[in-house]
Amino acid sequence: MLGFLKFFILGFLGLSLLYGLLTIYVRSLTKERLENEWAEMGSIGARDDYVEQGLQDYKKSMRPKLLLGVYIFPMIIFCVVFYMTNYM
Amino acid sequence: MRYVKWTLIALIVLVVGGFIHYSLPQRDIVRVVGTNTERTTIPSNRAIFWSAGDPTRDVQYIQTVQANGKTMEYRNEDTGWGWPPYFKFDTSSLYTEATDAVSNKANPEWYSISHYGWRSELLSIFPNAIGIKPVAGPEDTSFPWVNTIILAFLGVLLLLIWRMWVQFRERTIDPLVEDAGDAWDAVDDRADALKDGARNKAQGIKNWFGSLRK
Repeated sequence: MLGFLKFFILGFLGLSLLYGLLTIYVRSLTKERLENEWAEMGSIGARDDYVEQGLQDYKKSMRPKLLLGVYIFPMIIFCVVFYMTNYM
Repeated sequence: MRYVKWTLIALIVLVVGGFIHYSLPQRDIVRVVGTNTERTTIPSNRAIFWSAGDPTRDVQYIQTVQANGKTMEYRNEDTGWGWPPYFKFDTSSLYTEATDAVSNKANPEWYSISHYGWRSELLSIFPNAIGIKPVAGPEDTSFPWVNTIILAFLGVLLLLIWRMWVQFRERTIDPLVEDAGDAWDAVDDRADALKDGARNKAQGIKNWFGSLRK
């Protein structure tokens, strides 16, 4: 029981770290893409407004939610490994 | 200095590679010749090569012979929730399966035993058997898909960490350094201006004294 708790707490902490880092990373990539878009298109208003609007759109979109896969995929892998080891 | 660097790199590769090689699953095609349970005392300095538990306990073993005549012995222990993450809880069932798989030289039955770990006669350590399944013959090897996927995944993870670091450096550290550089330049300029101003003032005072003397 203690081993089970330790495994899940450590796993959750590790995955949360990865999730946090990925969130920051993808946001940074998005911001860079928006800045480049603004520079390429030219004369579409203020740079900061364009980038801010783009980041808001990104936040509302499906893509940041996909990062929750960081928790879901290891869970699936855990189930598969558990099944393969003990029931196959 | 170069030797130190390469020794360090070699050491890291050896430790990481050894760790991965120890933990990843491997398959042996073997003929099972027996199983037994033996009271075993595990020296504390080798405890990492065994499952957690009392240092003196009953451990199940599986004795096998490979097609080339070499012997291989496995231990049969739960990994539970510990490392490596095989979540093995079916030790007793595996023991039954292995006992059921025993065959003799005259009528060999070949089995593929998946396991992780190392066998060392010197250290008295044994790989831990994970699963057993019958195969057609000693040549019935299969491609190690699981290992391929795990190694590819580790590679992707390393690449990701590296890309994250590059992104962080480009967009967070470098601008900070530039800002600091700019700020420093500004301070420098101001100091220069002050110095110039002071020099001008001094010159002015000197001139004024000079004009008095005339």
